[in-house]
Amino acid sequence: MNLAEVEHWFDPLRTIPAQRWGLIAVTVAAAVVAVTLTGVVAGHSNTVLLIVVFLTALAASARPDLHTALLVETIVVWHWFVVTDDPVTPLAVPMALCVFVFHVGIALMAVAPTRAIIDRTIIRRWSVRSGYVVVATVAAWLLVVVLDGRRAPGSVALTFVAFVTLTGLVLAARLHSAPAGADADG
Amino acid sequence: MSSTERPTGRPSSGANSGWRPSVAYFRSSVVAVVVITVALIGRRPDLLVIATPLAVVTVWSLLTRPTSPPTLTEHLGHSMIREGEATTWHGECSGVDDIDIAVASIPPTPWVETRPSSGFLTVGAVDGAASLAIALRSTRWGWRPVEPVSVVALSPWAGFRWSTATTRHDLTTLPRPALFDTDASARPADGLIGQHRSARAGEGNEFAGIRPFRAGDRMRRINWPRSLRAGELNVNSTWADLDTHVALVIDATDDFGVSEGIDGLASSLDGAVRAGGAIAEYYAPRGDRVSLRTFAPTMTLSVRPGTGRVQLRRVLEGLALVTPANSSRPAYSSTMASRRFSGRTNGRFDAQLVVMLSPLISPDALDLAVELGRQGMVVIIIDTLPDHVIQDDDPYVALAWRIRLLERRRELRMVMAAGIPVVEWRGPGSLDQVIRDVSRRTSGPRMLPR
Repeated sequence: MNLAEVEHWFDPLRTIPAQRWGLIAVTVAAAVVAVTLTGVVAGHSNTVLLIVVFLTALAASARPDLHTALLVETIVVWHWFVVTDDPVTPLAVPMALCVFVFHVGIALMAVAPTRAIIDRTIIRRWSVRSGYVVVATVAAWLLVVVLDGRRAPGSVALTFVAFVTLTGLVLAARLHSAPAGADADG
Repeated sequence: MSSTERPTGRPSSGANSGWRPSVAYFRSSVVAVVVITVALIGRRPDLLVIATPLAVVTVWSLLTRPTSPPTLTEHLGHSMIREGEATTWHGECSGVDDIDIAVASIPPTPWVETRPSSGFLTVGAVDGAASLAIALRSTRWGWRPVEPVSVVALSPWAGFRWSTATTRHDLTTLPRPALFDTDASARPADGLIGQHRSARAGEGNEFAGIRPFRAGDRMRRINWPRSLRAGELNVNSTWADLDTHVALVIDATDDFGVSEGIDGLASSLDGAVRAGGAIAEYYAPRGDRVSLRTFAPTMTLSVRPGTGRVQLRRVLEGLALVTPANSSRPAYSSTMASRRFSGRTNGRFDAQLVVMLSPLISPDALDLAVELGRQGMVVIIIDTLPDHVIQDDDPYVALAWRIRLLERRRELRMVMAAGIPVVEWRGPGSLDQVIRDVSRRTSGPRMLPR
């Protein structure tokens, strides 16, 4: 393989706009930071997992219309669940936001093909919405801290809050669900 | 843009689907539900915090899910433009309040540049309506349809999507004629209309000289001052006013060279079409009749003689439809094309000036030119073979071209020896000298083979 063939192989990458590269960088960085945060909370880092998440996040950014991103989110959350044992750690908030940024970045990239430039008004609109989500996340963490501070016996209140959330999700899904046959085809 | 926009918007009739959940929605809902469940079972409130953003996104997506499909109204600004000009595809996606984003993508079409250059446009909807506009600039003449545009509408957080495809639009690109002008008058015609003087004296407006009165001269032609001085009657003689039938014959047997559109290299057919357009644009508005014929083994195209700007439009539209014949045909297939051409003209070809535009690679073109010349017509061949045709990365191809061009040079000498001039297209004045030569030659006695 000579140099010209290598350059030819990289030609498609040259057509990708800078905005898309920025989105890829933010998305992959969010996944990597999430794993790093988990390592910080646990007191030890897992380099192999970091590389796996990095590569998988990169693959998810390359094909955001596939379910690769689901794999990344599953790995990241599972890793957190396994190696951390502090239920009220404040690092849960940045961890949650990293997962959120990764999810939103992939969703935004899936909106249009790789060579498309996403309108700035869309990015601005999504940024404002993300602000609400950040507020909700911080509120959820404060709620957890408050509940933990009051030492609710058997975490009943916590269970109740989670149950209400889950029930709300199910009800909303029932109210707004698609007719039979609708599937997640992206 | 050259003309006003036509308000011919119509709802898209392409296949469309209802609102369907996206991969992003599937991902957020699965992760939210699973993580919350694990948090409950494992008594891990930190997992609840982690699941909160995705739960919010999922609920938000569900609550804003559109229930009815939007309406897409779309149209193409112009169906006919000139090379280098642009038109715009417009789309209006509306009818549903919860549209967040609309995306339009147009497939790449040869010699059509789009803005955005990627062919993909993303627009944020305002008050449930998204206005889409993709500029299309055609860089080469011809008929090329604008392929169906895919339009996707998305709900907030890209949770649900609706997609459709528009119908195909016709887009004809007329050639942008090259610059052309000539001072020479073409061969005289039989009619007494038009703006060109004849090579023969006759009734007209163009002053030719003063000569003694002859029987039959009109009284109003008598030049009285000169007659008084000379002591005999003298009259002003004039050149006859004539029209000219210029027949454009395009060799469409093949297309040689690289075509990069109006901004780059021109192929042989590009040169022929643009030069033909230039000649038509010069003669047709001046009252001369212009006709167009193409010859190719597979298809011939014909525009009847006519004059004026309407005829010019017809000729340009005809030129836009010229397509090179299949190059896989057998080489040197006798005079198939010229026979077909003669068949279409019923053996007659009533033109004062036949301008053949050809790369002169196929012997068919040369045979046809010689045949028309033998019928007594004035034939001028414009060589449209581009110079870059011999520049090939493959040295053997370049060598083959050089050999072929040597043969071609010999064939051209034979054609010119038969009295048919061959000139290269150089824009204004390209045909001046050759038309003068031809006009001078045809004003004298001629011998036609019988």
